[in-house]
Amino acid sequence: MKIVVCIKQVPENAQVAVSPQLTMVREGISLVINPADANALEAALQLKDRYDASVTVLSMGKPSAESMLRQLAPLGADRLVLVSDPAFSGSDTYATALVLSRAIRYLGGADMILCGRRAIDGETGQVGPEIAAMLDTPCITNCLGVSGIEDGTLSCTRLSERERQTVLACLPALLTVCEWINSPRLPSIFSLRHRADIPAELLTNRQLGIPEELCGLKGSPTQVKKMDVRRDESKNPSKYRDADQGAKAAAELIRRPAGGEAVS
Amino acid sequence: MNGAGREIWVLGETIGQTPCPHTLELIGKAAALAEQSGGAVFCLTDNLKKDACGLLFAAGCSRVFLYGAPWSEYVCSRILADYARQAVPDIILGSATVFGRSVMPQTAALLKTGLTADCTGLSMTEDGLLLQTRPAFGGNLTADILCARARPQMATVRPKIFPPPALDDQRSGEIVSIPRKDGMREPVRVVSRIPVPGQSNISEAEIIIAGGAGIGSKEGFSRLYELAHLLGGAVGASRAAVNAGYADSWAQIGLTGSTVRPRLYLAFGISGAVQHTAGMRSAGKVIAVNTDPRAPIFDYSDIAVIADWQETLDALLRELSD
Repeated sequence: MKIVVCIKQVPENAQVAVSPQLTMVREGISLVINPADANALEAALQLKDRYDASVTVLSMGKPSAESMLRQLAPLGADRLVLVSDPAFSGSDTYATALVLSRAIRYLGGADMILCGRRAIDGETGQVGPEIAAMLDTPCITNCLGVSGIEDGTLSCTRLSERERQTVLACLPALLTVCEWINSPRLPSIFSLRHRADIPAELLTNRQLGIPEELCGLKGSPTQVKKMDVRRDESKNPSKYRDADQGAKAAAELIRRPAGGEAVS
Repeated sequence: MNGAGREIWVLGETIGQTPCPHTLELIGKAAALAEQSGGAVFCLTDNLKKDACGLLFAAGCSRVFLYGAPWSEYVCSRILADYARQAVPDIILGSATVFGRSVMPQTAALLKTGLTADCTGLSMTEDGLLLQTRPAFGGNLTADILCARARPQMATVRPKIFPPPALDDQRSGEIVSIPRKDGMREPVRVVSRIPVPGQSNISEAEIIIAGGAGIGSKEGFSRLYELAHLLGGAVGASRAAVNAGYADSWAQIGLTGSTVRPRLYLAFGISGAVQHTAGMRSAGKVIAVNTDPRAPIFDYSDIAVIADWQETLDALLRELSD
């Protein structure tokens, strides 16, 4: 069984900068693995512990993402692939999913694709389902765990607003996982010594051959027209130094009907 | 692609064979946009009693495409894409629910078009494009987004972002059945559904009662559940509270936990480190209780109660039970 885990690098904390093209500036910002993607990798490694599986880690990003990818080898990843090309910069979720789905095809496909349910920077949660549609595989979002795989059918649980569902899906399938389903493992000293030397393979558009007009900013159907810095000064709260008075004011606010945009 | 239909489609969702409130909210918003663009509002939905379609018409849509049985995300996205390929609607709106967050991106990818997630504002530009506003980069910024060339223009909106529409019973419309496709692949099957209590899925919760290290114990956290139960909300926690073992990790809100955007956020014993506020700064109204008058959480609050959290909680429970 071949498992591909898609991983995104995200800024370590809330610091961001925006380029004149209104895309995110990633230079000079400390980047880490998106938390939910680390859980997706752990889920893949747990499947590898149970089944005969290989785990390929796939990331799209700047060449500098290679060092992050290499840190994943000692955890048990079998193959590390970085998709990087200047032509891909400025991609929206559609253009990103196009590159990743083409890369998965280029790598020979996968029986299972695991992604985090969303990234902490963009927070769209769209790339996973978009990859699934582009590869015409079923997509199960918000997974809480994989219970087993038998005869090409995967059994897993997922969370919706109101219920916990047990889902059967035909492989190949794409799963997006919740952050709290597992605790990502740490490398052992043994693995650090013996598995630390897997190089990351670089895939560029030379291999993928995506037409230029479908790449990056040009190939992105959505375009950011304007960006406003969100006011983050104090909301200047009404202050109460007495529990009873504070509770009274709080109750009043709670009882007030939900606000929103006025009906036009 | 210009000259495409001016239709605005809404992906409907149902509960107990009636429309979900957030579907009506979207139809109301779509009707307001259609008034500007001179188009019509259609709703595609499943598993609805025929007389419940009246609610969709009253909210402002003029045609309902109805699939007779509950559809899966896989089938829904394929049918929606098929229909949109033929009719080329100008806009498709869907709710940013677990269902919509899965169906809308799958549909957008099948249609080779863009999708903007979690819009907090939608309006028409002078050129007749859908201007989509959403929080960006962890809530630091808001972005105005256009999908200028590809069609349809697609966006998701969280429940309760737009107000419930005024319902006009005089409005009527047409119901068109979506035929079930025989032999359509159904690669995903839900084999069991267990209801989860309240809104334990905090990232979708409309009301969150969050606790921090200041709560001091697991027992303390169980008191927060009393308020959550009363308000129909979910209980969240700061990283400090999770690390101290007071709360489970799925409840964690912040950079390394969930990002939430509830209508109402109550923070008890949370100081408000960036780690935490990055995950809740987009909340609607915030009430914070902390004994430290300089706690950063107060900068994100509408009401700051500088007092003991237990005393305040007790008083609040009394107020709300009256």
